[in-house]
Amino acid sequence: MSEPTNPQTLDRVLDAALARAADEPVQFDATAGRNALAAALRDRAERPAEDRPHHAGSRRRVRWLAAAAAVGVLTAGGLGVLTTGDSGTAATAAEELTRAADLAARVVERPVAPGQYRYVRTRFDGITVEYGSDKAYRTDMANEQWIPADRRDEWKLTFHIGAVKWLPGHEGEGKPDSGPFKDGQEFVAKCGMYSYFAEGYPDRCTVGSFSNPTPEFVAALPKDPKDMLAKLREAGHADDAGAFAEAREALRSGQYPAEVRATIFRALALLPGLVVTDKRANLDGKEGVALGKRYYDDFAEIIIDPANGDFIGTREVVAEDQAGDKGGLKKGTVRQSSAVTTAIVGSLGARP
Amino acid sequence: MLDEAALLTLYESTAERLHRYVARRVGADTAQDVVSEAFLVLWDQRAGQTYEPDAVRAWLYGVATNLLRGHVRAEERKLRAWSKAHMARTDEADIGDRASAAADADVLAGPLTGWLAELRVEEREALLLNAWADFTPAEIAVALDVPVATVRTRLHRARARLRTRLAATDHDFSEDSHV
Repeated sequence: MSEPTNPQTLDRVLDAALARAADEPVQFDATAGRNALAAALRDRAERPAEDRPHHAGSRRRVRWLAAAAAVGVLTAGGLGVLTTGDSGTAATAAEELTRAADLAARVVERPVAPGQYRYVRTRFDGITVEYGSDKAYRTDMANEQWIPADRRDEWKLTFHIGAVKWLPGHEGEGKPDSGPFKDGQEFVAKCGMYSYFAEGYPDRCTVGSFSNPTPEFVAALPKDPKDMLAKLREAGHADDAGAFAEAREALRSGQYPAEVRATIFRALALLPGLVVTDKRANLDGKEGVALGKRYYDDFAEIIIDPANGDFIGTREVVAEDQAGDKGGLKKGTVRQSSAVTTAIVGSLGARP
Repeated sequence: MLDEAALLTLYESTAERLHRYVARRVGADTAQDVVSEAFLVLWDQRAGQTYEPDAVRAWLYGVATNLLRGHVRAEERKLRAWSKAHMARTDEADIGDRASAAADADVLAGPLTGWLAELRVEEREALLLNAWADFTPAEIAVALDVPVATVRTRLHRARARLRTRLAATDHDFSEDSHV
C-alpha cells in the first residue's frame, strides 16, 4: 500500500469518477413524450378528477401510488396505534394531534416586538452509519439561531459540536467525522443569508416556504385543516410522505405561531399512515408522544407534548433490525433526533 | 401563466435533461414514467398560476426526487448492475496507456456506482443532484425545501463515506498530482 492519499486528491478523484458513474447514452423521444403529455392534459380537461384513477391515462400515477403504499407495511391500517401493552386508553395519532391542536390553539403568545429576536435552539443527536460496514458513530450538536422581528435585519446562527464518538460495539479507526461545521462557528447576515449559502438562494426575507416562513407566507396559510394538508402536499410535491416532511420542517423551524401549529396538527390528523409510535418519547429532557410515518428503514416522527400541545422535536427511529452491512442497528434505535426550544430575547446573541 | 402551451414549451426545454438525470439513477424505462408524472404533478398543482422558469426547474427536480423514492429498490439494483458490468469491462482495458486521471476516473466509476447504492437515500439525492444535475447546495435546498445546512451536511456525509471507500481501495493515486 502507498502513503495515505490526501483528502483533496480523493475529492478530485471522487468528482472525476462521479462524473462518469452510471453514465451511458439514453434514448429520449421528446416528440413522443410531448404528445403523450398533451394527450394527458386533454384527458384531464375532459374528465373530472374523481374519475381519473379508473382511466388508462392515469395508470402511471396509480402504479406509483401503489408502490408508495407498499413501503409502509405497518401503516396499512391507516391511522392506528402501533404501541401496545401500555395500560390506559390507546389514542390514535389523529386523536393525539387533535388534542394537541386544541391545547395549542388556546395558547396566547406574545409576538416578537420590534427590536426583539426569536431565539431557536435545535439540539441534534444522531447516529451515522458508515456503509458497507458495521461502524457507526454518534454526533451530539446544537445550533442556535436569532431571527430579528424585522427579517431584513441581521440574523445570527451558531454551531456547537458536542461529543462525536464511536457507538459502543461499532467502533472504527481514528476519530469519527464531525461534519461540515466547526464547533463555535458563527454566521451573521441580514435576511439570514449566511455566507455558506451559495449564490442563487432565494431571498429569505421575501421568498417564503414551510421551512422559511416569512410573515406573508404564514399569513397566507389556510385556516382549514383540509386546505392546509393540500398546501403541505403541494409543497411536498403532491405526496403524503412529502407533506409530512414539510410539516416536520415547518415545526422544526420554531417560527410558527401557536394557532398555525394547531392547524398543522389538525392537517396531519387527516394524513393517512400516521401512527403513534411511542407514547413516552424522551427528547432533550422533555417527554412527549411520538407520531410517526414509515420511511424506508425508519419511522420519521414528530414529538408533541400531550400536556400543552407544544412541539418538542423530531426523531428517526429504526423500524426493523438492520443488516450487518447497513450498520446492524437494532429496531427501536433512535437514529437521529432534534429537539427544538424557542423563546423571545431582547438582543442578537442573548439567551433566554 | 402556466397554461397548456407553457407547460409543453417547458417540457421541450427541460424534459430531456431531467430524463437523462433520472435515467442515470433508475434506468431509462422508469425515467420515462417519472418524467411524465413530474410534469403532470406540476400541472395539477400549478396550472393557471404564474411561474418563474428557474423556480419551476428546481420544483420539477424536487418532484422527480420524490417520485424516485418510490423506486429505491429498482434504483439500487440499477446502480449495482451498472457497477458490475463496468468493472467487468475495465478489467479488460489496458489503462496503462491512458492519462492517469482519466484512467482513474474510468476505473473507479465502476465500484463508485456500486457504493452509491449503499448511501442513505437522502444523502444520495443531495449528492447526485449536485454531481449529475449541477445543482448548488442552495438550489438543492430549494428543490427539497430543507435548510441549506441540512443539504451541506448530507453532501458532506455522502462525500466522506465515498472518500473512505476510495481510500480503502488498493488503487494508487500517486500520479494524480500531475493533473
